[in-house]
Amino acid sequence: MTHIPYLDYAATTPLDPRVRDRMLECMDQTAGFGNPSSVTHEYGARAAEVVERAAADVATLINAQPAELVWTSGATESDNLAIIGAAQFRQMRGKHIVTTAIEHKAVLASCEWLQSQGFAVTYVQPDSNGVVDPAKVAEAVQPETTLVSVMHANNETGAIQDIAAMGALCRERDILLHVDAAQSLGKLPLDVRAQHIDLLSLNAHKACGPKGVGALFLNHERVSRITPQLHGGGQQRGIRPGTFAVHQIAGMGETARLLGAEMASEVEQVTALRERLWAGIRDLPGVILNGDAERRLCSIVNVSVADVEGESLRFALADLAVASGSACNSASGEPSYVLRSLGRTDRLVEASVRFSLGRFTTAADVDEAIARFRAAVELLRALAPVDRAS
Amino acid sequence: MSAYSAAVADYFRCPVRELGSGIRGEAGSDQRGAFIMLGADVCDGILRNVGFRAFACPHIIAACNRAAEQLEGAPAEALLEISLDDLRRQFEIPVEKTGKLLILQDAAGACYADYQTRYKASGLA
Repeated sequence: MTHIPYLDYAATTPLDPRVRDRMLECMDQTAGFGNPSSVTHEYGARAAEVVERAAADVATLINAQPAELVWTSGATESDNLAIIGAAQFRQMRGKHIVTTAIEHKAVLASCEWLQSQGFAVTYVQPDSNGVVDPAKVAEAVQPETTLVSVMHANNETGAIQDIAAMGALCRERDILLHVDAAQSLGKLPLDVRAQHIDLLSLNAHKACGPKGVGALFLNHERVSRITPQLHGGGQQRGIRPGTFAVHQIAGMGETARLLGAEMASEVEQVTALRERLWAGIRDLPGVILNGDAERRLCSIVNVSVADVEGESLRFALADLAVASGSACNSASGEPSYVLRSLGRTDRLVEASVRFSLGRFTTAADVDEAIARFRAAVELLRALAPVDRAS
Repeated sequence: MSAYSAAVADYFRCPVRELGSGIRGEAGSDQRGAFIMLGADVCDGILRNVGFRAFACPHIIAACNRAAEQLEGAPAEALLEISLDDLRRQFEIPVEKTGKLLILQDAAGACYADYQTRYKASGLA
């Protein structure tokens, strides 16, 4: 079988074997399988210790307190809980929310649901590089605004937003700031105090951790309560009830611990690979970088190719595990709204490719990707009727 | 799982064919989802250097390559005899792409019209 380089880390990542080992420790019959809420016996106590340790590891990574974390099933649930829960809890103050047009669907769909419940939402547009100007967020804020939700880094282009500036303006106006950090965890420094973040959505599987687990940070200095979206046994102060998924939580904790120890070197390594990739394809005629060249994640290169048909480009790249902005690459069946908001034409959106790199990407993977991408683009551009009349 | 057959892959990845400049025919548009340009040289009424350029999906590119292969060395009148049914069967082209396949037929028709203008009318054929 042909080796297919995996360059789709922004979709999900392979599980780090060290994380897997930590999870397995919690899945046998001697340690960790108990219910952390069953504190009356040793099994429950051991599981509770696992959860506490994981919370400490995640909290340390973002400069939070362990008690400020709520475990969830992933960033989608965290986004829903943060946005809907905070908006509902604070609706006596106002029913207006500000977000951006390039958020993840989990944020946009939560906002749309709130709109159906009588809330108003303002969607701030990014510039042509995918960066949102904090001044535009300030302009969008109204006296009735209770929440601003902005992603730290975009999942398609990797464009990075100035969270600290937005946090400062929200503090001045006593508005909560929610940040979706699903893509940035482990790639950018996160400090909820310095960046004035009130609610932060996290997951593990974009950082070589397990799928099916995430966390929501609630800044206890600013957020006393939010309205739960699930109802059950009262775990996690009733904000997110349900039996703790101990092995998943242990995996997320270990993921965070490893990031704390290795993030700097990993970012350096991945940045070098990203630059190697970009250097290998940027001279191809028709290749256009999507997103800001400077303010972007170390891991993402998103390009469109002019005068190339999208379906043929995807077929020509079938031996590469990459993502595209096309409709058929999307669960929604819609072409990338993120690239469209950057002003790209439908044709350029269809002929877009996102390479995303990570911990286990090798130089050989990148070189193989360069060779296959070049061959595909050269074939299709040679076939393109570029001197056509219409 | 690929949505394309091995035959599509084979013909899609063929080296780009030389595009004769004796006669030329174009059809399609962005709105129709594909654009095809066919070209060839004509010697004593026989097609040589039959090639194409296309902005199209893999099915249509494969069909263009196959048609060009079949037209090479054939009389110019063969431009009007491309069998879309054969191409559809050979490449398992889904029915919803019939419109795009017709663009190939239109481009071949335009190519033949150009042949008539350049050669037949002037008695060069």
